[in-house]
Amino acid sequence: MRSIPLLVALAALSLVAVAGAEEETKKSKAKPPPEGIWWAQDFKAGLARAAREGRPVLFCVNALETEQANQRLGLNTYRSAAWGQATRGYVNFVCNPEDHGATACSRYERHVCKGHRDALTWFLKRFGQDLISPQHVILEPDGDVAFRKEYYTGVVDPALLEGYLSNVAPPIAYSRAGIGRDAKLKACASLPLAELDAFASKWLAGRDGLAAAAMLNALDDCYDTPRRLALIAALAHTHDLQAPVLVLAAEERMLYPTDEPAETLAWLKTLFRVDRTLGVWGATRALVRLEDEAARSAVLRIWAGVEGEGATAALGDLPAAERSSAYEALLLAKDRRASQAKVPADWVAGRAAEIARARRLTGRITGAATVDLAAALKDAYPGDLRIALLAASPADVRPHAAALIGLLTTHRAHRVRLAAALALWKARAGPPVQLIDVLYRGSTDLIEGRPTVEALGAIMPEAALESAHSREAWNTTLLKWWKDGAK
Amino acid sequence: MRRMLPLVLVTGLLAALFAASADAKDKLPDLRRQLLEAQGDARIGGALDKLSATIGKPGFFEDAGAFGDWLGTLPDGRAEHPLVQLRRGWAYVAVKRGEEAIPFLQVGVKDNPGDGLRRAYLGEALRQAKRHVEAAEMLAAAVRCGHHGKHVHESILKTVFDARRAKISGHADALPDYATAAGVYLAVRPEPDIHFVVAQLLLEDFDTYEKPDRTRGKLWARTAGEHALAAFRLAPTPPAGGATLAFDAARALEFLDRVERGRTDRFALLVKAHELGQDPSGGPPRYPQALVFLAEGAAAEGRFELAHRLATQRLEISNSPRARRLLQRLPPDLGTSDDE
Repeated sequence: MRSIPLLVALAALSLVAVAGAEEETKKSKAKPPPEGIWWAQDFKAGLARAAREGRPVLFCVNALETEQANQRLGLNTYRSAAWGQATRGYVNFVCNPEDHGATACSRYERHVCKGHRDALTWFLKRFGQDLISPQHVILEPDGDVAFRKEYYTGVVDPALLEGYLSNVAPPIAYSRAGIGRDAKLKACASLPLAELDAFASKWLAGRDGLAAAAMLNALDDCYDTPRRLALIAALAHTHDLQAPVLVLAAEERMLYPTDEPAETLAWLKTLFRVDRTLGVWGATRALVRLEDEAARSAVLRIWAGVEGEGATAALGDLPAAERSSAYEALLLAKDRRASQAKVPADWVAGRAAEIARARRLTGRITGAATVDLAAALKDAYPGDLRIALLAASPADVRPHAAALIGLLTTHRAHRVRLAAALALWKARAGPPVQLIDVLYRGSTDLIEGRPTVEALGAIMPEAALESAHSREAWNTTLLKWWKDGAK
Repeated sequence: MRRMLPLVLVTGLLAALFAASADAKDKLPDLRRQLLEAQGDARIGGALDKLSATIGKPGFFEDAGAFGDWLGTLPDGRAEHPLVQLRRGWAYVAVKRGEEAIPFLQVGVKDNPGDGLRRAYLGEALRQAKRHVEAAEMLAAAVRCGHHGKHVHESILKTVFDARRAKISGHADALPDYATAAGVYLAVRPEPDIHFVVAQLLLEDFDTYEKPDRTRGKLWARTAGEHALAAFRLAPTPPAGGATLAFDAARALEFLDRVERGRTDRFALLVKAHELGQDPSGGPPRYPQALVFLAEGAAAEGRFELAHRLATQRLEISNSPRARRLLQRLPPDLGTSDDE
């Protein structure tokens, strides 16, 4: 009897299999997708998809059909497998004003004419009416221009498109890089370590726009520490266009540098060699998180480019433009060298280093902690005013209480009203009921909510705030705190 | 009560039939005579009501325009009576002859300046005559006199659309006429749908005709943002397209906000775009870009924790180089789980 359910299950599975096979047959009979570029048919949906999925957007302006370059691009190049493969990670739009058929477009494969007309309309609005065709534009998912080239001179090719995929969409580049690179990935896993650098150097300097992303695939599949370190070191040959893809892998090491100290240092060396900006980014993150002074010294040595265990590096050994970043990181790490060093001139320039980087470093920086609230009130730039309000001590706030109470109702920016309420609340000045109302609205705001509750939590018991789920409970809790303070 | 209902209906029907037959039995000469002989505003008004009821009926006036013309032929100074002139104006408005109606309605308004209905008619006549800003002023005056009829709302909406069709203002530092007209009205009676429409139109025109760094472009972008925010304040649940409007308005203000260091409404509009663009089924929001723009706004005013949180939220939805660039600029101690 027990076999009956099994038989039923097998029968069901075979039916599913038959149905699946029929489906497969249907699919195989259907026209295969084109080898060339897959155009997004609905323009608005395409743009939304790019933002939602973090894909770069490729615009191929192909508006002069009778011109030779446009013709070659439209009818040959865009239909080639090489361009097709290189653009799979993109959302692709072709811009053309003509009509090539009532339903399907006869000029561009698997496309509709409305799609390429809408794309052109948008393109003209964004880039102006003086349009040069052909041209290619790559936008970031949030709409910024990453690349633009007018005319067609051969610069734009599959390698460049893949390179920009690595630059603009590292996660997508990473996921696509494993395709069709089996031999090279195998080499990464099996070559003697001494040969790895030369091999990587040749590959990364070549015309493969996804080379660095592919090497990261190899790194992720490698569990041998010396080989991992060698791969990280070899990534120093990465072309700067592909540099952003390295951040994907290096970020975790920089944020948790003590987990794999050797890899952290290896990554830092690589980052500094590829792009100094990335090196500074990585080194500052690591410095702040390393608790051991010796480990921080190692980071500083890499930063300064000083090799060897016995060597030392001080702030003064770093390039002048990078000293203030190192100084800030050391301040945040409470490293003694920060207090001993001369404050870099560019650090104190301008609004006392943004009020000591909005109070993160208050008290640990020369002459940066004071706030001129009266000047900020006169100036009335919302951002500056807000920083001043949040940075002001109760003693600074009380003489200006009347002006701040005025802000509660008159200032157009909600975030400034909220900052005024927080400042007044901290100073226990002003009408509590009105303050409670502004603070409640702030606490329920989609953007301001969490910072508001956190800021209040620094003033009064956080547990009480967390239990104040209703408006009534909020009012009671805050009013009680106010009255208790008055007693 | 239910038993009474048929009785009430029958009585009502009979009354209506009786009234209709009473009207029908009077011929035009009789009604004309009644109007000429009527003394006092109430009786003149009654006679005019009877005549108005005949419009479109066989043997009487073909349409309201014919009735208006006929009123102009009345002898013995009757045609010049303010009430007659007012009705003549109304009649012309009904057949879209606003230009002709204006002088008669002006007499009517002068006769009773506190009557909002008369002002509303004059406003509509001015709209028909394509005097859009004056129309809006008059409609606003009607509202100020306590007249809140639905047709006032329709008139101002039509004024806005008509004015936009007419032309875009050519002055270097001016708003288009439709926005000026709407502004006059909205100052008296803020209505969310009119704010919404004006913001949409201004943004469309900004996109088509303007550049963000021109004087006029800045004005249009700022005004569009103000109208959009006013619409959201007045109607917290705006019609479909609210997220798009908020996002577009914020984009239009990008340049100005940079120049004015955050003095515009851009941050509030981005918050709104993010809020209204939420997917009720829990999917990614409609405008994930809003998060990174908000993060930049927060960073610009030293709110680094908030900036970090917003940029991270953006990256949780999908890849964003702009969010990554921002994160790289933030203080280096941000970014581990302790800060989240």
